[in-house]
Amino acid sequence: MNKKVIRIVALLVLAGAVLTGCAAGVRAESTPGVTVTDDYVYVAYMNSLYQLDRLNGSQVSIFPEKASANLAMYAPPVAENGYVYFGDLANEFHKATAGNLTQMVWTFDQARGWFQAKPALAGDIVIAPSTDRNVYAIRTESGNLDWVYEGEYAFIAEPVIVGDKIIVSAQDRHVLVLDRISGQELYRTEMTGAVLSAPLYDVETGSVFVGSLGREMISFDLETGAVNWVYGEGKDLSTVWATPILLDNQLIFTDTSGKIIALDPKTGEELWQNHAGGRVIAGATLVEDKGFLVAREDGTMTFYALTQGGDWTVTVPGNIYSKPIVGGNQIFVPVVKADALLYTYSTSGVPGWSFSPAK
Amino acid sequence: MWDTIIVQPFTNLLLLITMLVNNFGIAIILFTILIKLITYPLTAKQLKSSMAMQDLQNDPQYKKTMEKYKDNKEKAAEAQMRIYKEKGVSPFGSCLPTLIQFPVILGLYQGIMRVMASTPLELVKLERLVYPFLDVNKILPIQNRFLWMDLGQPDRMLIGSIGIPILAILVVITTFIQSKIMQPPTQGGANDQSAAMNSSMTMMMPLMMGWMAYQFSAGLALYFLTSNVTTIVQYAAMGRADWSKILPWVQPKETGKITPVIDLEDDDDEEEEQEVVKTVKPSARSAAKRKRPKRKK
Repeated sequence: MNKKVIRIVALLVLAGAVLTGCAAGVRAESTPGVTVTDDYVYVAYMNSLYQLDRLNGSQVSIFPEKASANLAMYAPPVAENGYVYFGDLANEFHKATAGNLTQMVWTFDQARGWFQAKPALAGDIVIAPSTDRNVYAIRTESGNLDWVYEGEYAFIAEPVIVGDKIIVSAQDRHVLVLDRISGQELYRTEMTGAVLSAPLYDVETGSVFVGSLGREMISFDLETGAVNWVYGEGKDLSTVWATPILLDNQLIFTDTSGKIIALDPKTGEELWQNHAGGRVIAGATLVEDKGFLVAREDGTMTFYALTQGGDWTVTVPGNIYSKPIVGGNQIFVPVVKADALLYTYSTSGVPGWSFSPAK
Repeated sequence: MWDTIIVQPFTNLLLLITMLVNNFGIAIILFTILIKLITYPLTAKQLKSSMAMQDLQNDPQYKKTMEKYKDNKEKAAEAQMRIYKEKGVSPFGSCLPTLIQFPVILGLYQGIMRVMASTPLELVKLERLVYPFLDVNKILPIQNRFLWMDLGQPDRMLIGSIGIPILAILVVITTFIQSKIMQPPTQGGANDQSAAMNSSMTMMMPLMMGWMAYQFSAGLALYFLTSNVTTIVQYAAMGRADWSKILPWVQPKETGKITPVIDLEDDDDEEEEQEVVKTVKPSARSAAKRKRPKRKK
């Protein structure tokens, strides 16, 4: 080949690299998926799943041992009984041994889409929604497929298991209720917009609460599917991305404009309204018996206490798009565009350890 | 800045088309054709300029002049510029339209990628790009299903248990056709190198594009395919496509006895008029000119 050919080929490769973002393998950008257990913190981000010591944030284990450009993962895993269940963006779902994530028990590879949602354990099956429009029920013992539910759009929200029912948020403007044993659809509740977050189930009243991009929050009865109330029409509400919380007999949620709204969970009547002072994607996070947190997109995190004078605000150095997680007296905040992936705070707002993957 | 000026308008235009036709696959096709049509004058100008340059460089007298000054680069460049000026050919004529088109192509690509948001974070970013007059609630979610494809995933048509990358194969074929019919004609001798280069390019380009279509989401491969087909159609519409290069039963375009119209001689090198048999296919405009041989005084 002469020099001219080499030059032109190099130019083409450069143009290809510019067009494709210089990245080979899986191309997707998302926030770290974090799960907290009694002993460990799991962080799924880009090419790795990290297992950290909850006390000091030191790395205990990592999957895969050697990062691959063809593998990415963002879904928070589920950890129970010494095993970790997690999916990736290479269309595979795994069961690994806690303590050594590279020690695989099985890998399920029948999906044709990404696993982005946090899975849910339901007895001897694990429910794993995929972007291939399927919800997979995989046997925890063998890794074999138990049943599959075929939907209309990609599933990206965590399912909620209540007895023999599975509640799944769907992007096709529905909340689906499936039978846990057979995977059959029992009924669906229509929404005005796409539902991107997990619903909230209230054990006491048997109600389900869920918001959507249709600028609404609705409540329906899980047993009958009957809609209890709809909040949003005629209100100056923006899109609702995150799961609401129940605190002190109030249903609290945020919209993307930063409004914090409290409703009566029984009637849907508005109790009060506040503003976070900036865009909120992550929603409100419950701090049991104490209050709730609202993390703004720009990293400002405020704790609203049930008792007067207990509020505090910290600035997390990064952008927050997913809910902080509260475990015991610690708050775990996943961030993007920051030096670290995860920052921790005490429930009184004192900074703790942070985690940055080794370069 | 880049997002506001280039990516945001492209993204919103694509979303608007998606809303109108209610199908993301068709929207990608229409969007690509629309952008190609808008940039057609630039493409046409670029093709004309590069053809004029090719015609000029294949001209024996031009070559003779270059040969004459091969040891004096300064003089060769001077003579070259004079010829360009006399013939009204700009050496940068094909570069400028390409430069102008580049941000458009990048914007087109990035617009498609943004609309194919598949993670929550990408959806948040897409929501922010949407103009207020487009109701985000009516747009999201984007239905990624088109024919057998999931536009957000690499294309594999399942036949039995084998996934066939139909789009990648089509991208390879259309890129090959595009390269082949657009390949400039070459002569022997000094042009052997050029022929070898063209031949390498004809093989390399389809493979590279095919690899990209195989690796990346089907939506992007659909864009590559539409873009290739549109370019082939545009090229054919300009009368520049030589189908005999890919269809053996088609007669090659007529090559005839033509007289160079380029007045190449410099002050100390008077040349008599010559008739030269060229294998170069003349462009419509230059062919018309060539009917009237220009005499030197």
